[in-house]
Amino acid sequence: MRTEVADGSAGYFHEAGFYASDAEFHAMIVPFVEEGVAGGEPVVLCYDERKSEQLRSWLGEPPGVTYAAGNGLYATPARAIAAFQGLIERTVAAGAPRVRLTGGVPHPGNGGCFEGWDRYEFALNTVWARFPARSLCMYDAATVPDGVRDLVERAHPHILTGAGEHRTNNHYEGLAANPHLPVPADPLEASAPTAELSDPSAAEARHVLERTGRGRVSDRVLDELLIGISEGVTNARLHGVPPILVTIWAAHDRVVATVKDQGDGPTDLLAGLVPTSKTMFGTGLGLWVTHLLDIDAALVFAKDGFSLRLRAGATPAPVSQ
Amino acid sequence: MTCNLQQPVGRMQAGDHGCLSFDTDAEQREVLTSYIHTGLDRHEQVMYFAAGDPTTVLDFLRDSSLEPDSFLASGQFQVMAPEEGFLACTPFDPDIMIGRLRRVAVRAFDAGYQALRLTGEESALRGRPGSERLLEYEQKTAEVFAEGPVLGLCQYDRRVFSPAEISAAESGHTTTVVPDPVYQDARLFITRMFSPPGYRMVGELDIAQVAAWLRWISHAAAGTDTDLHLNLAGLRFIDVAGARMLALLSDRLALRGSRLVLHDLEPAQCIVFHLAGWDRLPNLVMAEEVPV
Repeated sequence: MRTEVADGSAGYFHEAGFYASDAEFHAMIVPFVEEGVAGGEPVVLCYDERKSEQLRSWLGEPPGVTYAAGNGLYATPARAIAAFQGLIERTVAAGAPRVRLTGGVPHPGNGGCFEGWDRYEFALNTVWARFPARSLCMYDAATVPDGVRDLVERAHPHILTGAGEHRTNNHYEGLAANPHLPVPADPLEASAPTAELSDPSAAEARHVLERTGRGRVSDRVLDELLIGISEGVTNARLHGVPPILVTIWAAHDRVVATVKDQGDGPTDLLAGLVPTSKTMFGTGLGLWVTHLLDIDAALVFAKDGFSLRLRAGATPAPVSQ
Repeated sequence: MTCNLQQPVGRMQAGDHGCLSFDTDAEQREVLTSYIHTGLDRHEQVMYFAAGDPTTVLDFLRDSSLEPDSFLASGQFQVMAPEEGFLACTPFDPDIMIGRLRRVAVRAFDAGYQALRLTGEESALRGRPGSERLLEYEQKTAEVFAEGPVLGLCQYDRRVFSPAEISAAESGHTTTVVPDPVYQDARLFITRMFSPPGYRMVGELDIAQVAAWLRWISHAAAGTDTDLHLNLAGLRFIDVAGARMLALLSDRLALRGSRLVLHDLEPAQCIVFHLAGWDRLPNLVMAEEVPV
């Protein structure tokens, strides 16, 4: 794989842009695409249908440009990394000098949840460091929450201004940064738990979750929750600090489960985002597989311990912060 | 009556009415040897209704180190030729047979045996007058099993009976009987599979068991140069560590030119293989068909 490109930059170029209007969005993204087309660099545009239509009206369908609408690539941070990485590898193997990616990750300002994407934005600087790729992460300045904006500014080495100017980002904190934003509690967590287990085995946790959750979510989703809680308990027993507490809340159409230990949680920024397959017995893969499932998985770092929280079923009402 | 429960033959108790459907002589003999051996050990009277020459039954018992002669001499073990068993009355009449079983049971209890343990090769009736009443007979035997410490194991040869007949027969029994586990821990048991040769895994496999399981399966697989077949239809859960061990096993088999073939893995269990990319390993085959 080539890591040197024609403009002299090597490896991964990670840039964020905050636009305050359609005109600014146009001024930032159109040159990004046109430069890619001119340089023979495939460009992938990952926006929702409305934004994609807007981009088509400006750019048309030039060769080498792909519209990946539908937000499927942003299902979970781990899936986004795996999908984009596969795309980069395939495209470069086919002869492209570099790949350009642009899109917007989910956050409350665009109707999504930012949990996990904080680590994602930091992790890309490490995960793709050697990849010939350039990504432009676009955020609507009018809707992005302050906390998200602050984290994004700390996570990107480069910033693109609304006027289309590329700057080195003075706020970038590098690989030593703390990438964790507080994770809002799920509304169910304020209610009495349906089940609590102290220091369970992974099998005990699975069996209780299966009895508790059957019929409240689809069988397929429950199967995925069982994988998640099993891997969570396994990790807590292997890497956490006892006692381990498994708590399950079950409403008629949704299930929330947490696996908590008294430790500080994984120190590896990439834990759960990419596979670490060199270890024995699947450890290092379990948390990653959990983050690839069609359930919500969040790492909750708190002063009194670390939790893996799993959620599935109907979307909960938002909780004011 | 429906029959969904798979029961290892060694766990059969008085009152059980089990159905063994088998493809190979090896499977039949493994199950029957355990069934008969257990009964003799428990001081039960064991009565075998054969479809052919009783010598065949005695020979395979001797081959499996179960010496039947002393039990034959004492009367604790009896092997009936077809004309003494299912074909003693022509045409076959379930009520006459049931009456005979009741009398045999009374004599066994009077003689001090703990139970009467019956087994029969139903293929003895194939094509014989009255054979259309076989299922009626199976249903009526339940009355005998309910009256005292009696248990029975009905043998259906898949090479003789059609799949539909096997299905009907199994539904007329309380359990389908499988060989005794060759591996067992708190949440997983493994039985031998005969066609294709391999193993059937039932239960759950997670990180707590994988080291012991991998040691066992590697040792078990070492004796053959053919593909290793695992029927996973009964595997209710496998975690990443368990799936990883299967991937590792496929790597080991590749060294000697054979493959790991996983049969009937449930979609929920496929997820882990798919997400980790192990379903694309060249030496690990995920087959859809269900071997018996």
